[in-house]
Amino acid sequence: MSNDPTTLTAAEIVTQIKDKAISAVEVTEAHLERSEKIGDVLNSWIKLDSEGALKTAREVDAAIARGEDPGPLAGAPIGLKDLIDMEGLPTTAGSIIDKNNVADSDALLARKIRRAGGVILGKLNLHEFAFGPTGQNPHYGDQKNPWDTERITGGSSGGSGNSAATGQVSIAIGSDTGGSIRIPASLCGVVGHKPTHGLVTKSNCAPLSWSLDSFGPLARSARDCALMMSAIAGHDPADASSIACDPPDFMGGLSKPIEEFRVGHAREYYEQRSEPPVAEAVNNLAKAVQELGAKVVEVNIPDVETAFHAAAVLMVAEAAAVHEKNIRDNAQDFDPAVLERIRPGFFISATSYIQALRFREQWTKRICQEVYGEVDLVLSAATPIPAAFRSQTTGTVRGKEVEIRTLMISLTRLWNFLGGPSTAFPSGMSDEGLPLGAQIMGAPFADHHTLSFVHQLEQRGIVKVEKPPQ
Amino acid sequence: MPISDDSIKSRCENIFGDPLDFERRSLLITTMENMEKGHPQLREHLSSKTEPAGHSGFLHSLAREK
Repeated sequence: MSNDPTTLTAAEIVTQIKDKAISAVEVTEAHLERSEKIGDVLNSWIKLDSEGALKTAREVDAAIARGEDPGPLAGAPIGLKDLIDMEGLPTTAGSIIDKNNVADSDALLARKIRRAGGVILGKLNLHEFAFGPTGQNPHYGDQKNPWDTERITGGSSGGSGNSAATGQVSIAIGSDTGGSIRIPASLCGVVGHKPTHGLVTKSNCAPLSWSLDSFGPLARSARDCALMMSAIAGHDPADASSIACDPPDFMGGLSKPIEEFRVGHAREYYEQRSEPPVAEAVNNLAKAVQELGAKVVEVNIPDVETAFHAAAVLMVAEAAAVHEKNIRDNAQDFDPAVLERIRPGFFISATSYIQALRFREQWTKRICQEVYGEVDLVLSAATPIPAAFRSQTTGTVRGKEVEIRTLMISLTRLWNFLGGPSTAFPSGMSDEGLPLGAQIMGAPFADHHTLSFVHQLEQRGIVKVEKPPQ
Repeated sequence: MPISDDSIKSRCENIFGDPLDFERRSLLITTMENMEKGHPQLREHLSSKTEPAGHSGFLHSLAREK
């Protein structure tokens, strides 16, 4: 096993710390050093909290010295997307409007991580107000892809993606409204899990769209995502969309054999919406899963276009409601590109918004009955192209030129609309040496199954999280 | 339903205090028209049994069934 703690997964770090093979302080120092060295190059961080992190690490070591169990994340270095309140630090949401928005207490999400023994290193960079799928930010710098710094990380959780990929943190927390965990996971080559809507608390986390936002982990293995989900899932009465239920057994669920899964291959959904190498990687994956003994059948997802438009209506209308005061008072301080995407929300009619909500229930029930009545999981590409250059405004798919922003969310947005879980993971590399991404999508509350599917493929060497050159 | 340029201009003045320049208004109109395209499809698809809070209610019912 490597002596460099920044190359270890969170699960490996926790084991070594509990075995006293390494201290939490040593692990934290190594990750802070890496973050200072590489974080500036990749614009990963808005605020590194070295002092706070080392204080927590010393507490973890002291607990171990007393013979106590500091928790399942003991000493694991964690980064939080800067939407999540940490006491005494500003929650900027990637904006200058909120640069002095100092939190007077930790969000429950942060408290749960600390209670589990996690060491929070600081606040990660993002697309302003999480409203953009590229990770470009004029205030704190564009988040850069560790495979090629001229390219986007994907967003909006770009700092979460590039910090997890480069070992600055063992697990990063992102948020996903239209793909903002899965897109950077796909483009940076890590595993990213968007949980079932309402499974992870959003209290004291800056919203983009209340009905579509989910917070979840990005890491270098599905096991680490499951480890984090075990710590952060659960009911929060203070969060209106939190669901009162016992969370799935994420860690126990990892052992479910892959041959027990019925997998729907959503070829029709992603093939014509993706470039050929992306589609081919997923097709190969479907074959490999079948060869391992899983039942694989082709599935159709109904009413894709209508659901995509309805999700846009909800997202933009809710984002406009979230930012109404800021837009009236501080419009000049927004990233102009973000502002112009929020503004249409003021023109969505009440009837359009209500019809979109009504359609959502109908469509979700239909997917649960027609699709998840036949299969357990649905396999698709996550992003239709690998990481684009930061200077690109359009990309080409099957000969058609499409705006990068639209392209990036074209395969992820639907599962936010459904409210179901989806885990993005690496499916191979492009000829240019960039990660390609797939996603495995579940019915609501099947989070343990999507994570298990990826874990089982990792165990068999079919899914590999590669180390980027940066 | 398409919204006229004059209407956009007037609404922008009411909401933002400025009419927005031509380029920004064009972007706004294009974005809105793209979204409004989904509206007739929604109307055609909707069952009379659905209501706005239905999705949340459905997730809660799934959680109870677990």
